Amino acid sequence: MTTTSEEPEGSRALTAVTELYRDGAEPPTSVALDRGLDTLLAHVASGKERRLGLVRWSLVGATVALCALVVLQVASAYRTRLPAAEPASLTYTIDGGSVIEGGYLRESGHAGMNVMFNEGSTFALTPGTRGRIRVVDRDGAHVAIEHGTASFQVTHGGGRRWLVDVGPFLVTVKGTVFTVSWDPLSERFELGLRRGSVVVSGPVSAGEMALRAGQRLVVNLAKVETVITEERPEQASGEAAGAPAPPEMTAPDLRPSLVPSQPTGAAPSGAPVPATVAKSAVDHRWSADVARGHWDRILQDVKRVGVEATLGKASSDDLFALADAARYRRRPDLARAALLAERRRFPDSPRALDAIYLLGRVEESRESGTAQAIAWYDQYLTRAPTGPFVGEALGRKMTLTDESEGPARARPIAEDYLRRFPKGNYAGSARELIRAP
Amino acid sequence: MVLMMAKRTLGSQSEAEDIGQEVFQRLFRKAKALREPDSLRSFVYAFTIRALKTELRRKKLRGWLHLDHPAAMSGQGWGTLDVESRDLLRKFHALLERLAPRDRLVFILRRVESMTVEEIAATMEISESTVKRSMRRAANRLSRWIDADPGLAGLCDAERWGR
Repeated sequence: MTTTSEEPEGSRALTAVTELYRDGAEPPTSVALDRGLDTLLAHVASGKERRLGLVRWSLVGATVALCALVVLQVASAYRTRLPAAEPASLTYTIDGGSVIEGGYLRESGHAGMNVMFNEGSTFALTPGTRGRIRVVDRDGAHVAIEHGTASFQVTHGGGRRWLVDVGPFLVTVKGTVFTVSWDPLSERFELGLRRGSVVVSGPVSAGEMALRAGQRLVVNLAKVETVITEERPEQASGEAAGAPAPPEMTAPDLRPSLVPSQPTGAAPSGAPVPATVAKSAVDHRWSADVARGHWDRILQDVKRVGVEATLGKASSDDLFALADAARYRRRPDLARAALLAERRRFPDSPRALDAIYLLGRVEESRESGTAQAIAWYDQYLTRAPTGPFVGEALGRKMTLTDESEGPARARPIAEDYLRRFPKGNYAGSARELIRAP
Repeated sequence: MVLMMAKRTLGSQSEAEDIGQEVFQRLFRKAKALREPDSLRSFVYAFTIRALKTELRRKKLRGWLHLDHPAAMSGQGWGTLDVESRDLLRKFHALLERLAPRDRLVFILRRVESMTVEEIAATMEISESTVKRSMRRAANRLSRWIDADPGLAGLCDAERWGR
C-alpha cells in the first residue's frame, strides 16, 4: 500500500512491523467458519423469542449498570487516591554530607557519603569523591561523578531512568549493582558490574558498550586502551579502585580475532576466569554485532573458521552471540548447536541455565518442536526457579500447551502465571485462556 | 474479511469471533433494508467498523474503570509466524492499545486493511481531514514509541525481514 504525500509514512521500523502485522494473521479455517455459522444460526433462531424479554431486562440492566457505575467510580477514585499519597517524584536523603548549589555533594566528614532514594536505590561515594546530583524527578535520576569512586545499587521499577555521568562517560543503568570510578589525572575509567546490566557510552572505539553481570570495564584514555575482564558475578566486588585487578588482556581497538579459549568450567571456584578474559575483545565485538543487527557478520566469521572449530573453542559469550545471530537469521540448527555447546562446555556458568530457556525458543521455531520446547521450558523452570526468564518460560509453556493440548491443559499454567506475574507479558493471554469456555 | 479485520484491530481471536457474530446478526436483522445487492460489501464494512469502534471504546472505558487490564495479543491465529515475530507483534499490539480508539481504528484501516481515506471517512462517518489527522497522530506516536524501545526498533530492523 502506498500512502499519500500528506500522510506520514512513520519510521522504517513502523512500516516493517505494520506489514508483518498485516501479513501475519492467519485466515480462519473452514472448521472455525462452520462453527461460527452454527452459533450465528442458533442465536438468530432464539433471538425472536428473547426480544421482548430483552427489552424488559435491558431496562432493569440499565438501572443496575448506572448504580454500578457510580459505585465503581467512587471505588476507583478511592483507589487512585491511595498511591497519590506517595510522592510522585524521586526524593533522597543524604548521610554524611549535604547538597550545595549546583547539586554538588559536599562531604561533612572523611567517611564518604551515602545517598538513599525513596524507591530503594542508593549510592555511596568513597571519601574524597566529588559527585553531583544533576536531576532527580519523577522520570528518574541523573548523577555525575567528577572524580573518585562511587558504588550504586539501583532498584529497577516504575520505568524510571537512571543515568550516571562518569568523567566523559555516560552509564545508562537498568536494575543494577555496580561500582564506577574516574580519575581525571590519569584519565582512567573503571566500572565493575556485580548484578544487572548497564550500557556505557563515551570515548571508546566501539561506541556504546553493553556490560553484563560479572564484567569489569577499564578504559584508559591516555593509553588508548580498553579492557573488559570477566569474573564470576559474585566475585565482581564493589570496590572498583581498591579490589585486586583480575588478569587483563588489552584490547586497544576491539578488533575481532577468534582466539581459542579454555572452558571456564575448569577454573577453580571463586577464581577469576581467565578464559573469558582472554576472549574479551571478540566477546565485545560479537555482542556488539548482535546488538546492532550485524548477524551476518558473525555467521561469516563462523563460516571462515568452521562451525566445529567455533563450537569447540569459542568463549561462552561468543557462543551466546552466535546462538542469537543464528536465531535471528532463522538458522535453528546452528543456534541449537551453539546453545548445546554452551551447556556442555560451560556447565557451571549462569548462562548454561539461560541456554536451557533459549533452547526452548529454538525448538519452537522448528517444525514439530513443540513438545521438546515445553520440555526445555519445564527444565528451566525447575533448575532456575528465580531466573530472569521464568515469566517468559512459563508464558511460552502456557501458549504452547494451549496450542498443542488444548485450553483445559493450559488453564492451570495460566492460573499459575497470573498468580506470579499478574502484569506480565502473557497476562492478557492467560486471562483470555481462563475466561474461554 | 470481517474476522480478519477484527482480529487485526483487536489482536484477539476470540474477540474477533464475537465481533463476527455481532456483525452478521445485525446484518441478518437489517438485510431487508438492503435494496442494492452491490452495496452488500460496504454494508458489511460499515457494520464491522461500527462494531469495532464500539468495542474499542468499551475496552477503553473498562480500562478506565479498572474493570479490565490491557490484554496482551493472544497467540492464536498467528501460528505460521516464528516465535520472534510473534513477540514482535505482541509488543506492537501493546503499542496499538495505547492509541486512542479512533486513531487506532483509522491506522488499522488505512495501513493494514489498505482502505482509502475516502472509504474510511465514509464508513466511520467522519470527515476526510479528521481521518488524515488521526492517521498522522497514530503514525507519529507509533514511530516514536518504537524508536524509543531499542529492543523493538532493533527487531524491526528491515534487514531482519529481508526487505
